Amino acid sequence: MDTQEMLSQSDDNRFSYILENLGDLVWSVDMDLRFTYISPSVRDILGYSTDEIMEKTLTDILVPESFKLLKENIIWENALNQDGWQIMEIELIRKDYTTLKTEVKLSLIHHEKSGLFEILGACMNTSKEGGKTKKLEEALNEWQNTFDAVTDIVALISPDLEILKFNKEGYRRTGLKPENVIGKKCYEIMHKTDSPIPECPCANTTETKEAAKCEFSQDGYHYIASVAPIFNENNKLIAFAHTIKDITDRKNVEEAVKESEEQYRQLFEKMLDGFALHKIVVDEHNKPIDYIFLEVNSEFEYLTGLKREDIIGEKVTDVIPGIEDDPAHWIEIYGDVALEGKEFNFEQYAEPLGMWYSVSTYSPKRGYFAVMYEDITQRKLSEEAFQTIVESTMGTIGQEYFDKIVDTLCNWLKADCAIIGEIVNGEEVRTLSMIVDGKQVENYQYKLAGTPCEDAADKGYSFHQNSVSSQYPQMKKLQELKAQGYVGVSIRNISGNPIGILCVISRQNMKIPIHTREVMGIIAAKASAELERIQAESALKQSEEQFRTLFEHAGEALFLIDPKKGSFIDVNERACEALGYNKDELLNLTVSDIDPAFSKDQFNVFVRSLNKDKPVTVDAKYKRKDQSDFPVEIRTGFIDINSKTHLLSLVRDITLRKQAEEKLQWELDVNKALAELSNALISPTTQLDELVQIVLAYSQNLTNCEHGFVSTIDPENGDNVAHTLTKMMDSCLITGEDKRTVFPRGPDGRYKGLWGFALNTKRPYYTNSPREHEASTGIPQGHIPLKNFLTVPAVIGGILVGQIALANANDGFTDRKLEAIRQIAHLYALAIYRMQTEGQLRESEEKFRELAELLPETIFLANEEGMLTFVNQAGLEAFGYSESEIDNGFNVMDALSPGDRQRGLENIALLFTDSKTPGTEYMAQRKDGSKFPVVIYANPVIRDGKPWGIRGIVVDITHRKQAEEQIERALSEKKLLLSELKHRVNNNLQLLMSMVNMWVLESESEEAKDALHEVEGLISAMALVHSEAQIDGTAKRIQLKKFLTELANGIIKIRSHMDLEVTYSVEGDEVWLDLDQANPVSLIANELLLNALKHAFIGRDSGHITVSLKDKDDAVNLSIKDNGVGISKEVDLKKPDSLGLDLINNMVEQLNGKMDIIVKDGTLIEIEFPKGVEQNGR
Amino acid sequence: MGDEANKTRVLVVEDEKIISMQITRVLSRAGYDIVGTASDGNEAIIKANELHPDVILMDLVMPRMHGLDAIKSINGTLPQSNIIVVTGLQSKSILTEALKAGAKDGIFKPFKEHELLEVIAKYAAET
Repeated sequence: MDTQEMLSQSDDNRFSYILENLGDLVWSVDMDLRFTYISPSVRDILGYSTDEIMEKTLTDILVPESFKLLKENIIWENALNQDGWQIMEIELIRKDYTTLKTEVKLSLIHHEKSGLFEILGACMNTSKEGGKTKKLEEALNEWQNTFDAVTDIVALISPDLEILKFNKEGYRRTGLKPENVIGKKCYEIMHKTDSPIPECPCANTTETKEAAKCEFSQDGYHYIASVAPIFNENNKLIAFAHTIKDITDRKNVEEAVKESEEQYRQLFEKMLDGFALHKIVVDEHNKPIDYIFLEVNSEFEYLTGLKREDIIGEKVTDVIPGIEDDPAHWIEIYGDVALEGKEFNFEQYAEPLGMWYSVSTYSPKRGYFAVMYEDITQRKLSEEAFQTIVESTMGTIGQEYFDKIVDTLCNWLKADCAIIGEIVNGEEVRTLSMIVDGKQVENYQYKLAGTPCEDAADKGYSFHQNSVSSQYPQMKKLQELKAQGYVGVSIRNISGNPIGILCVISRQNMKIPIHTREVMGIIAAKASAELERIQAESALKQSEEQFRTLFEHAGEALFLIDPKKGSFIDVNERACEALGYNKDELLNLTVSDIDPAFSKDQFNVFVRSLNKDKPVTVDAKYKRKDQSDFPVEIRTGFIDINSKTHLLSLVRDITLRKQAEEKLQWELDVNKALAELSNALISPTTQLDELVQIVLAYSQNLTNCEHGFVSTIDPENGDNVAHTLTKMMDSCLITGEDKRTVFPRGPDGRYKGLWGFALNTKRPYYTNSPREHEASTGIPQGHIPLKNFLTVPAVIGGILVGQIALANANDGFTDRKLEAIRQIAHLYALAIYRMQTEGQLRESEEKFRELAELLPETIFLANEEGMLTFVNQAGLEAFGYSESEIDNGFNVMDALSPGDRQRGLENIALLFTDSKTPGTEYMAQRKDGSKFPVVIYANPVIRDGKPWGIRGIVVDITHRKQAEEQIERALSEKKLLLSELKHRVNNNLQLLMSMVNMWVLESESEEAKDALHEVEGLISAMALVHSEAQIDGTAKRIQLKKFLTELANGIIKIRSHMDLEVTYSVEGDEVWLDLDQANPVSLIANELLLNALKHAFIGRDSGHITVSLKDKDDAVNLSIKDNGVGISKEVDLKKPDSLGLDLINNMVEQLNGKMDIIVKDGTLIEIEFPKGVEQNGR
Repeated sequence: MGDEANKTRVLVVEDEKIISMQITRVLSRAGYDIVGTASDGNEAIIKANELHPDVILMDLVMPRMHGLDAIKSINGTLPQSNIIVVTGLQSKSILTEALKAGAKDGIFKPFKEHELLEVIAKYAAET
């Protein structure tokens, strides 16, 4: 068939018809692959209606590989070339997602009018292929039948969860028609939701590619859903196979089974108790009238005492006659159980058995009921005991409660002793109540250690059926009682800690009912509460008592205040005393009444600001009933009393403390003022004007005064000169020069008025009523009114130097103020004195300076450090310094040559130790370094009793030194000259001596020798005089005794050659003899000694010569005595014929002396001559 | 003075001939061996070194060379010789100086015979 031809006649009906009836699938798509035409065979081949397919694109019905193949192999050029067909094999997707492989013939059609292309395809419906489809269709039909036959809902769902296929069950369940199901979202249909339910396994399966299951409930039905993903050959998800199974019945069955199992299990368990199964018997009105025993167990038989063989199959009305009339309406009740499914439980006492049992009934099946019996005798007994205890202790508390407990426990357990005790300090048990043989035992206490109670306390419970006393030998009570049985439980507080013990002791072996532990535990729990309550109460009571005691007897005033109203709830005695109210009065007041500065609003603010746990302390002033006030310190905090919050204020009267503080403050103020004043007063720069200002300011400040003045007494005329005066007059009437106010001294030397009174008496005073004061002369016109007055005269050394006067102190004057001003006045007086003496000192200094300037010598003043404080003009000139150089600081040591400075310092130090003022020579140094000799006379300067420095005068001794040196030089020249002279004299004398000596040695005549010896002696004597006289020319006298000794020695030695042993001695006073007298004396002595040697010892071989000297003040007495033969009487000393004696006479005459000769035991020649330079003839 | 004194060799240094003479005579009479005389320091040094006298009587103030210099020199070469200063300079300082220079003793002019003999006798025994 020529398709091109067919298409060109597309409007041809015939062509259409062919196509419509063709078994092949013919289609055309536009460039967007949308179908422009598809033949009706599409329904048979692909399962789509033509309408459906027209909504699709070619892509939708091609597996991706085929589409790719198509896309790649269409040769677009072919279309332009109008070049025939292309054939390829493709795979189509049917509507049911099965696929179909087919050969397609493709051709491109170009519409010349529109310029658009179309693809024309024809899938061959070959006979072979057609057969295949048929088979498939059959299979499909078969599958569809199966599909529909399934009783579960089966759906085929597209990947985007649209229902593709639904089975009959589906439609049945949903009640929907295919058109309302196919193509709709599965969750809309199945779950009636807008989105998939959370359990939906579809999402999971996409990933896992495995089937999944879920259970869900809907509308009271239970379903199990399974989903299996379907993939095509290319592993593409094409659909989900979804089955939903209704498992509601199964569920119900399961639950029913479970329930019945439970029932069965219960039943089984309960079979251990008595069990009986009955069938209810009803009348025509379905009203229960009787029941028949169907089955009972042996326990039932035991419990009821009914024998199985007697009752099985029997009516209860027969077994237990009269039951129908029992007010308990048993039959009626059981009827409800059997017919209505009600359950009925009760407890019953079986009289003949003396047992209690619990009865429970249920209906295992309609019309039947089962009854189970449980032995609860023990429990019942316990309950009864407990009930008894509860009833007996009901309404009792404290001691009574504890007493009841022990009593009841004893009875219940048929014991001999019961104890309830509290554990004290974890070590001991103190009984709260104890009963022994029905009697209360008071206050028993025992150690917990080594008792069964300890076990009970530790473990909560302790039970000993017997021999407890032998097991616990330490517990005395057990021994006393000879106890066998013991049961005890601990009483624990809310934290679980044991606080007490509850125990029962028996002399017999102890049999305890079951639940004893529990019963006792319950009692213990209640006891615990009671014990804690008692303890708390006791603690509370104690604390309340303590509080009360504390409150009443506290040393401080206490106020219990309502924090809302500020009213007093309670006050103690002390508070009443402090405020002067009685208690009732005070309780009617509020805080603001006694603390007027504390308004109600302020009180409220204060209370709000208070920290719950932190009391605050404030100072305030409280007002007494008598309106006087006093300072207080208040400590306020919240306090809970009887679970109400109050304010507790502790109020302390701090009057004394305030006074002490105030006093301390005052002293501090005074001391501060005095310290600052002292500084100002001792400062050398402070002027009088400043001083008085400061003094007045401090005085006014300390005394709180408006007015006052500070004055000095004029030393000249005694007038009181006020330097400062606060304005007291409208206009200043009495103003002196420099705006100073002068209060003149009267002609009688006395001062006037109030101020004058203090000056006249030299005593400070004050008055707070000045008008009444004896010295008051009234207030001058224009003067401010005087309220009070205080004045202190400034006196030093008994001399009045000034005054401090103060007036109108705001709070009056007191002794304390007076004392403070006195101290100030004392300082003030010192300061005035200092200023005045400084003035005098300045004058004296001035005088000193004027004098110093007049002197030509250097005058200086230096302080202790040696710094020059003054030097006169002469000094500046002498040392070459300018005034400014000195002013810039100059140390006196710099005026000494460096070598003298140390000595200078030492000498200055000495000045202060012995105050000597010797002139000391130094080498001074000028500014230019040149040096000159000086003598410094220095004195220490003492100021205020302390070394201050030195004052001195420096004398230039250059000229004196020069003169001295000249003299020195002359002197040494003279010495040299004299030495030379002496040498020559000595040499010449030696020459003579040598000559004479040689002659002596040569001479053969003894006479000549003697004569020469005499000459030798004379030369020696002369030489001796020379040598004795000091050759420096200063010596003008000789020591006569020494001289005579040497003379005698020389003479006697010379004569030693004689055969004569002569000794000599020189004795008597030492006599200083003028040199002028030495020569004649030496010649006399020489002559006399020679004479003695020559003549006195003739005919003897030995002798002694004694030379004596006597100092007779004005005269000298010389005697020479020998012990020889004595001088011949013929020798006339006055008229001697010998040269020697004549010589002696002449020499004595020269000396203005006289000579005596005494011959007795030898010869004594005595010469006496006056001392002195004045000599006869010279 | 006995025979021992005879052995004592003395050099007399004195510029004044008369004094020198007298000393020589006195000492000779006393048994001393006057080995020589010198009239100035130089000569004294030469003679002393030449004669090695036991005792040298040494004047101080002499022409050309002062006695002190001679003493120093002789003491340097002949420390064993006993130099006795004989001087008219009656000062202790000059004597001290001479002793420092090496002299053993001294005698002031004018001296007496016995004084000379006494001082030299001290050193005669030493030889």
